Amino acid sequence: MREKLVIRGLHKAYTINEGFGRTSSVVALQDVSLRVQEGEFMTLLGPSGCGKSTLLMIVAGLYPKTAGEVLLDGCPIDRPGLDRGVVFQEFALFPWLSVKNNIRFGLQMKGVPREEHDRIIRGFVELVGLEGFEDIYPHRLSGGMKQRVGIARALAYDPELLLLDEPFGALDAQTRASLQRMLVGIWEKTRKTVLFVTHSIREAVFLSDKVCVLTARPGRVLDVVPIELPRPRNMLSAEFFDYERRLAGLISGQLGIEAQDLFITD
Amino acid sequence: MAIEKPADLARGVGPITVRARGRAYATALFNNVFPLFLVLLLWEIVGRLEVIHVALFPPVTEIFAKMWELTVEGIFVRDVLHSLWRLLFSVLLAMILGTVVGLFMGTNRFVEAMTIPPLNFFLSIPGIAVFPIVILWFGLTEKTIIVTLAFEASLTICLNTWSGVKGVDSALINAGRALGATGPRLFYRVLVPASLPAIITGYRLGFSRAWRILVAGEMLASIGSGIGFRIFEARSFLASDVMYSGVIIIGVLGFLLERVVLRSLEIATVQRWGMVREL
Ligand SMILES: Nc1ncnc2c1ncn2[C@@H]1O[C@H](COP(=O)(O)OP(=O)(O)O)[C@@H](O)[C@H]1O
Ligand SMILES: [Mg+2]
Repeated sequence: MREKLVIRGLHKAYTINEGFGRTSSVVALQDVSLRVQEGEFMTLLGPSGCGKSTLLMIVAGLYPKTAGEVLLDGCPIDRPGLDRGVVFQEFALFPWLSVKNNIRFGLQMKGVPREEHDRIIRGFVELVGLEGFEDIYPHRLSGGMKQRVGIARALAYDPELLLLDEPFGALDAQTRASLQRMLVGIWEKTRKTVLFVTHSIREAVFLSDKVCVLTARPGRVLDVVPIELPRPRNMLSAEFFDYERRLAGLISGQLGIEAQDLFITD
Repeated sequence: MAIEKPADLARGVGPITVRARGRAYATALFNNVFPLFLVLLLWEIVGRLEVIHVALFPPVTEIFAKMWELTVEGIFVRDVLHSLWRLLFSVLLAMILGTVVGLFMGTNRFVEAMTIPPLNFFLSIPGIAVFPIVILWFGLTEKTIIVTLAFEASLTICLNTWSGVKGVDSALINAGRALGATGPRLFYRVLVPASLPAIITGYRLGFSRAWRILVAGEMLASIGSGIGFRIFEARSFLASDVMYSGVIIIGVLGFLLERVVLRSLEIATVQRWGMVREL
């Protein structure tokens, strides 16, 4: 297998403007190194505020990095590009575009010939189960439907790498479960390389090939845990629970709390 | 309202029947007209009772008779057309100028730094105050009125556009950039539509500001036609019915322009997209 994404010695410090010419600085990521194989489902897991979103946004090319290297297929990344698709926690759909035209946006930017748009859009609308909603404006959709559009929009122009920042964090438990299943299905069908961010241990174990556990701020890689469970995964199996317990142990050690406390809030 | 099943969809956005649409229009008309009708009725009663001298407070029916007379003679038609022409032309200029400058201010730090102080300075000057200066420049001409109006309205539109662009959710900008939009395409495919609610509010405010100054300007510039001029001229003949007619026409026109033109623009865009709340 080829290495799709390589991150080496990545540092990120935010400079905060305190007003009246004063600035301060927050170190969000410190010496992060990570390798993601082609076709792999990699999850970044860590407590809130540890720098997961920061890392993902740097890979997306949306935030500048302070130091280090990010290589996609061997090429350094320093700006956004259509070789990556990004799904945001807050959906970030364009309210002035219908579902269909939200999905079309990336195709237009990529310069895909107009004749092919309808066929491609239809394919992705089916993939995420949005048939019949093509001409609706986003504000009329429920949260789960919105994120389906978000996923279709990020996949439509056929990126190499799919980046998702807590995409199901704003959804209720049932919707989240059905979208998790849908995402696994899409990944099995398209075999895209995926970098997924979550703070939910259960979500990480359910979805991932490998889970990269980050330390509390400043974020460093604590461990990369391969999840060797057959799919479809059963959340109620003993093996599943073993993985959950192992990850909870890693994270609670970071936070200085009991591992069992992590299961209360999940 | 969120949609969960395609069945809801059919109900929510299916073809609207002609009858339902007719009923919607009738309701809207009633809601807008009935309260006004009550005011007119009260006016008529007070006028007929002659509590106030008729020359100062004529009953509405007499005002409308006069209005009809002046309309048939063509005087009011000419006045209205002249006023409207001045208003629309200058507001159009202001929309173009204010939107373009405002968009640049909202996206370029240098332009922003250079324009904010003068903009705030000029905004704090009431439009009427600059009239005498503009008259000095252009004399008692159309140009004087149009320049003053366009200047005033463009300041308001500019300010709103600028704050609209500044207020665009950074998540939308990030989404646009992630989807490959940069430079001008990011600008007109994401920033402009995302700031449309604020831009339209700017148009409404600019329009009403211009409308106010127009009437005052026509009085000051005594330009020979226009609703404002007509009222001012009638004052010297103590023709109160003409003055009231003029004032009513100003009210009705302002109301219609706001409700029909600008409100429709809003319904067709930002409201349909759920970017402003429906009340
Ligand atoms: N734009 C920003 N400016 C300053 N500090 C930021 C900014 N974004 C994030 N941070 C800080 O960086 C740290 C990591 O944030 P983030 O990447 O959002 O964490 P996570 O996604 O893991 O919750 C946090 O302490 C946060 O306060
Ligand atoms: Mg985050």
